[in-house]
Amino acid sequence: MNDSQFDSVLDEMIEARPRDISPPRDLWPGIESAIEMRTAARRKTVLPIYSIASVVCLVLVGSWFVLTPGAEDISDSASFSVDMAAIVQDMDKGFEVKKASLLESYHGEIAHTSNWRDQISELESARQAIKESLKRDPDNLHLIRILQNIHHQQLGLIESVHQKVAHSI
Amino acid sequence: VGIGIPQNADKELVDACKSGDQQAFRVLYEQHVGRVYALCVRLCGDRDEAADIAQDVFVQVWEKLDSFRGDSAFSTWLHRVATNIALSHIRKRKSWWQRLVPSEEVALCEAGAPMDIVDDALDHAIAKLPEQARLVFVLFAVEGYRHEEIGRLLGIAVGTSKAQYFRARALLKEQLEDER
Repeated sequence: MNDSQFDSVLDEMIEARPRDISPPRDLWPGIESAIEMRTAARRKTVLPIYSIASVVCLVLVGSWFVLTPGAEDISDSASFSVDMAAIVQDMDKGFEVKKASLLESYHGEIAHTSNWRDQISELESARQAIKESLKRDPDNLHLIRILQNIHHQQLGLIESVHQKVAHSI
Repeated sequence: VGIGIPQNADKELVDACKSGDQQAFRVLYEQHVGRVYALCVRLCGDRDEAADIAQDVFVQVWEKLDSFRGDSAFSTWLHRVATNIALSHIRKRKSWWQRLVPSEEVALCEAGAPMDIVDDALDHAIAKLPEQARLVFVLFAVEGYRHEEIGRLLGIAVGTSKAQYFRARALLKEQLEDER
């Protein structure tokens, strides 16, 4: 067979070749499971994105309600300040009552240290200074905590100096 | 279109697949699996490996369906995707020494390795060709790619593609004459 004859034979064979060949096994089950696995994996990736997006939307909507003028009735900063000032005032009054009651209970008893009244006086000055500051900045949580701490220190000091004496006697 | 499926029918199926209809995708698979497997088995020369590649082709096609815009027939697009995936598989299967040794020597070592893939005499002879000659011959003579495209797909010069094609023809002639 010369080259020319071979070329025509080859062309005929190419033309006559089967266009489709059946695979040796059914490929669909493998394809189906791979598709389902990938779809499930994509859902796992996409869902957190939706969750984050919904949280962001919630924050934005919340901010809009707080910051827009029409939403004054929901969060009025002035009324919030008044509420905090009232709470602080109640807390301080409660302290005064408790302190007076404590001093009354230890009336006539000898204290362990002689300078406890000086210490109480210093703490009292600090208390008044904090209260003055809170009048100017009623929402300042840091100042409120300091005031609470001064209350505890005063009550603790009164109790400790008198209890030690009672115990030692 | 290649397998006699009306283009509109394919388009409707593809649209259904894009919306997540796996049954529509199964119909597409049934229609095209023979053609895709034939391409894979001719390129790689191994029945089982070709089945794995064809399976991967359909999985990747499902993933890439959104990128099919319908500018060409679905079968044409599928054929291009399948060719790229099959060639990628063939490149990956090369062992470390095959990457180091010049391709001509590899081809000689591999000549005659893949056999017994199909009953057709021509396919049987093609399967016995050295790898690069087989790839070029299948892409040029059977699948209708131009040498420029083959050069890009295989990362070889156009001249090399032509040389491999004529080499494949010479080897096929020897084989077919021996069988007669």
